Amino acid sequence: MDMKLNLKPLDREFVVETMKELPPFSSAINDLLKILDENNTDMSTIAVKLLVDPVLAGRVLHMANSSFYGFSRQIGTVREACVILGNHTVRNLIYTLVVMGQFESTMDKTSEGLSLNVRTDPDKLTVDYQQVWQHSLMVGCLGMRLAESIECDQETAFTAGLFHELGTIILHHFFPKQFDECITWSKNNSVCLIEAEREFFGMDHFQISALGLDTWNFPNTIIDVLKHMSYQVSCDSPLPNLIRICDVMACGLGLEPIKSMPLSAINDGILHNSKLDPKILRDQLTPSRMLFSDLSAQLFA
Amino acid sequence: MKKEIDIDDAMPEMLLVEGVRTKVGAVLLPEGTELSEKIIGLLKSKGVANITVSTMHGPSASSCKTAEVERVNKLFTPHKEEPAMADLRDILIDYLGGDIGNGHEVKSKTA
Repeated sequence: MDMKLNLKPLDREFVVETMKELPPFSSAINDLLKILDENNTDMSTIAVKLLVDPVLAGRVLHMANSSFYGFSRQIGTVREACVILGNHTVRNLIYTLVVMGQFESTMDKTSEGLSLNVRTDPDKLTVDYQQVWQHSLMVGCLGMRLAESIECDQETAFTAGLFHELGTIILHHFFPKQFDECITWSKNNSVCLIEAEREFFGMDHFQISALGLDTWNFPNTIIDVLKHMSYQVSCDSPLPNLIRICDVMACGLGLEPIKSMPLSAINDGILHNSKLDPKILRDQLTPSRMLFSDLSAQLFA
Repeated sequence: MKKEIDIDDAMPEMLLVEGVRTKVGAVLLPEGTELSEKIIGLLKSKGVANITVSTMHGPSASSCKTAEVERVNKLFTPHKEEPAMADLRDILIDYLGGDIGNGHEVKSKTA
């Protein structure tokens, strides 16, 4: 294996310190999330706060009307969406949309007020962020469709799937040269990305994803899934193992996060501890693709 | 062979030879997807006007499936000794390859 590197591997502590430079949410978003944490807040008040950012409010409304939530009738207003979806779901949805908005690279949207955008010139990207998000969305959709069969929460599975590659984007954003070399080294040596990242950064993108979400005060249930995905053998909890499987399946369905990268393989322990029935996995591929298509139109259109 | 068709002319079992994308380039459906009534309805609801498909039946559709199976086999080749990866590969080939797949029936754990 070619271990010759042009750039010195980064120290884990340095990477963790750099993560502190992640842009915080704006005070308006923090205010909104704070009142969502207060379970007794009137949803009409939340809707009014949300409308400060019309783009974000519009995306919440679009998502509420997607097949993900499966309502039989059209939800017409942001207030109605907040009331029907409820406190917990609106909170998760806002987190999802805001964090994705932080790393948009090819999506031409302007959002003022609540959202804070870190944009990179698409021509300079070696990692296509939209491609990474689309892979992640497929992982989230597979996770969501399969979670029920292993008695796990569908929304947690979806969110963990959606953010499992956040670390890839963060690493590329902060350390573009090192990450490019990491990708090249990974391809040249047929080493999967998570192992290459451990060589270059002292940790992998699952751990970085968990650190990023922790910085933004995501629920611990989601952060724990991402931390456990980093286990090299398997963990006892079924959900992290399920998301690892979904990660491989999404690549197999033609949605790789980075083209021509070696797969991050799973082993028998991961498959067994996921408690996933292969027949159910096979049967849920079409519904997962349908959900992906619907959400892709809502999130990226 | 591929041809661009109007979404109103789309029929179940047609195979996409190019992914369907939104105006900003987001993938709605990746290439290799076999159309169904539901998927066609979804594309119409998203305002998709045209899609690029292989010939509806016959060797073109078959070659598209073969290409998908080859892609999956290539992706999984480095892990062929890992039984769990072989299981996932077989599920994908059964799904994407259909009648030209590997003939492995995906069985329930409890079956």
